This record gives sequence, C-alpha cells and structure tokens, in this order.
Amino acid sequence: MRELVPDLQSMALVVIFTLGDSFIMALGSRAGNDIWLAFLLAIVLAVPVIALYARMRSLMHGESLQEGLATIYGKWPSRAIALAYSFYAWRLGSYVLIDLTSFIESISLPTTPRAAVATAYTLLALWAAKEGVEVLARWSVVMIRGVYFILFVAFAMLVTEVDLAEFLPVLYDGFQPILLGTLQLLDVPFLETVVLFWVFDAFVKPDSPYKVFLPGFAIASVFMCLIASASLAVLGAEQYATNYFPVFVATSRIDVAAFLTRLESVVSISFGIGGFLKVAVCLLAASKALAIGLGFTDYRFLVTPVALSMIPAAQWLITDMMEAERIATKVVGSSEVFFQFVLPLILWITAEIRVAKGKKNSAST
Amino acid sequence: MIILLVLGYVVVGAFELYMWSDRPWKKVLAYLCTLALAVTLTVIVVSSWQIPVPQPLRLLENWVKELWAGGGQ
Repeated sequence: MRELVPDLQSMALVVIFTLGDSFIMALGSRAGNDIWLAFLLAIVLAVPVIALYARMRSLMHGESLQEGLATIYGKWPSRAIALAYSFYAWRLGSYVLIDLTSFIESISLPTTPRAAVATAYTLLALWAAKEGVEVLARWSVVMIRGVYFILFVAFAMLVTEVDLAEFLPVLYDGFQPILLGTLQLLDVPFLETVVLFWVFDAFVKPDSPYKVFLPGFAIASVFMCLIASASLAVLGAEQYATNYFPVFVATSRIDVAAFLTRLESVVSISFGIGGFLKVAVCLLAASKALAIGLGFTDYRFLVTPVALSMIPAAQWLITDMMEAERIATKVVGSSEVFFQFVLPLILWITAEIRVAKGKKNSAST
Repeated sequence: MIILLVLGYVVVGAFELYMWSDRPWKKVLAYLCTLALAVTLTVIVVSSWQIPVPQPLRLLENWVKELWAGGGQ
C-alpha cells in the first residue's frame, strides 16, 4: 500500500526535520562574526543539491520508491543503494539520539543514565515510525505552528539583547572563515535532508518533490540563520563558538523589564520536538531503505530491531558531549560528502540518462 | 547485566513474532538477523569492549585533510 502525503503536510515535515535538534548547536561557528554570510552562502549552495534530490524523486513519479528505484537503476543496484542509505539514516538517527541525551544530561538530568533517556525517545520514535510517514506528516502540521511561534518569540526577544557591533568588521579575516562555516552548515544540517528522499513513498504530482523540499528547506534555513545570527550578536563570536548550546545560552540572557526571563526552556521545547521528529524520520528511512535493500515491500516489521540497535549505537558511535559537538560542527566529513553529494550526483546523472534512453526507446517502438 | 539485556531482546523478539498474523520464513530470518545485530551492539557497549567504530571512508577523509590542512577538523 502506497503512503501518499499531501504537499503541505510533507513540507511541514521537511521544515521540522531540517530544524531538528541542530539549530541549538554552534552552527557555522567557524565563520566567526560573518556567520550570516556563511548561512547565506550555504543556503545558496544547498538549494541546487536539494533540487537534485527533488528531481530524482520527480523522475520516479507514478511509482512507489521501491518500484521507481528498480525501474531506473535495476534490481540489484537499487538494493545496494538502499542498504547504503539505510546505514546512513541509522547512523544519523543515532547521532541525533546522542545529541538529545547529551542536551538533557547537561541541562536538566545530570545523574540519569543516558541509556534511559535514549530508550524513552527511541520507544516514542518507534511508535511514530510504525504508524508511518502519513501520521508523522500530520503530526508535523500540528506541531509546526508551535515551533514557528516558539522560534518567532525567541527571535523577537533575542533582538532586545543583540549588539549589532558583534557583526563588525565584516570580512575582517577574509573569505576562508566564511567558507569553513558554509561547509559546516552544508554538512550538518542542510544536506541531511537527503534522508527525506527515503521517507516519502510517493508524491501527489510530478512537481510535488520541488514544492515539498525547496520551500521546506528555505523556511527552516531562514529561521536557523535568524536565530544563530541573533545568538551570536548576543554572545559574541568567541562565546558562540565555545558554548555547546549557544542558542540556549543566548535565550537564557533574555530579560524584558525583569518580567520575561528564563525563556531558554521554551527553546528546549522546540529542540525536543525537532529532535524527536528527526529520530523518528531517520528510523523510518533506515527501516524503509533496509526493507528495500532486502527486497521486502513492507518495512514495519523491521522498525523494532532497527530502533533497538540505535540505542547502543548512540553510546558506541559517540562517547561524550565533546565528540557530539565535534561531529555536529565539523567542517568536512568524508561519509557526509559521499552520501549527501557524491552518491546523489552519480545517481542523478544515471537516472537522467536511463530515463532519457527509456523515453527514446518507447518513442521508437 | 548482559544476560538480562539479551533476555530482554529475546522477549521483545518473541512477543513481536507472536503478534504477526503470518510468518514467512524470509521475513522471520531478516527480523532475527537485524535483532541479532542490535543484541551484538548492546553487548559491545555494555561489556565496555573498546571496539573502534569502522570508518571505511577514512582514506578519503585523510586525503581531504592533506589537500586542505585543517579541513577535516
């Protein structure tokens, strides 16, 4: 049975997934006080790559993800690709899980074992993933209003504390810090949207992938740019880079007439919502891709073991908060470059050639 | 602790398989293999064995680092 999600609901899912858990981290910190330029450059560079993901899905219109992959790439290559992306989504889900548990451990539950928090989150994500992408997308439509409200209020309140002199002088250290910040942003979280390629089973219209991926990404990235830039203007470039959760620290400084204070807990709600959705989406993508890789049409029976393997993986892949922060803010990761850019580029070129050949053959017969 | 955790996985697996309406052997095999991987990971973590995370793309990363000093930090 094909899971068909309306464009608006899919877009809401893309927005919350892109914001995810990472907007609270020191995104683009290598750019220093030129962070806003790094964000703008990263958005400009990410849009063609995300359009490429959308184009690949658009080429599969009329077929489910599994059928589309098999038609374009053939049975065995499509299975190998699916297995590779299953591993990528599983690993990303584990990373997000460790980010969530580290944040909760650092902020509010320092003596609670990480495994306990990870298990609670995973069980919730397991339930959501078993319900499927339709339920997750409907849930996103409901929650996105709250996320918009929280981020808008946080930004409006942050504006009362900003010092615009923190952005000056522009380009003082040249272009290299901006480039490093841009690469940081492309790596995490902008091009992580490749996981969404595996989540949606089918789209309503041939141009639906464009209407879902591009506006969803644009909204989320603009929000992230505003929040990160405002946080940097509150804390200064040095503190922004050295804090694990600079947005959280910046919002804790909000003090409107000694009446509105301690608003960081509100930002934590948005972090919790985004983090949960990202884990659930990664779990769904990992299970779906694994099912395609193993040649099954149904993925739900694989959700439980995949979810249960993410809990120990979160402890195995990253051991402490420093490592989690290093992975979230690294400049270039070889596996990320491979899965987010190189492999999609190869797949897109192959798909265009195969589809063009297919059309030529059908026209000649 | 390890025995308790493995037992937990066995209970979860048995319960899920019991709840399935039909049990084609291919599905059961895929389920059990994936669950076995989860159990293996859990045993690795709980037993504190220092098994490094496999990084097959490390060669590419090293090459990028050489090309652009500090690029992979």
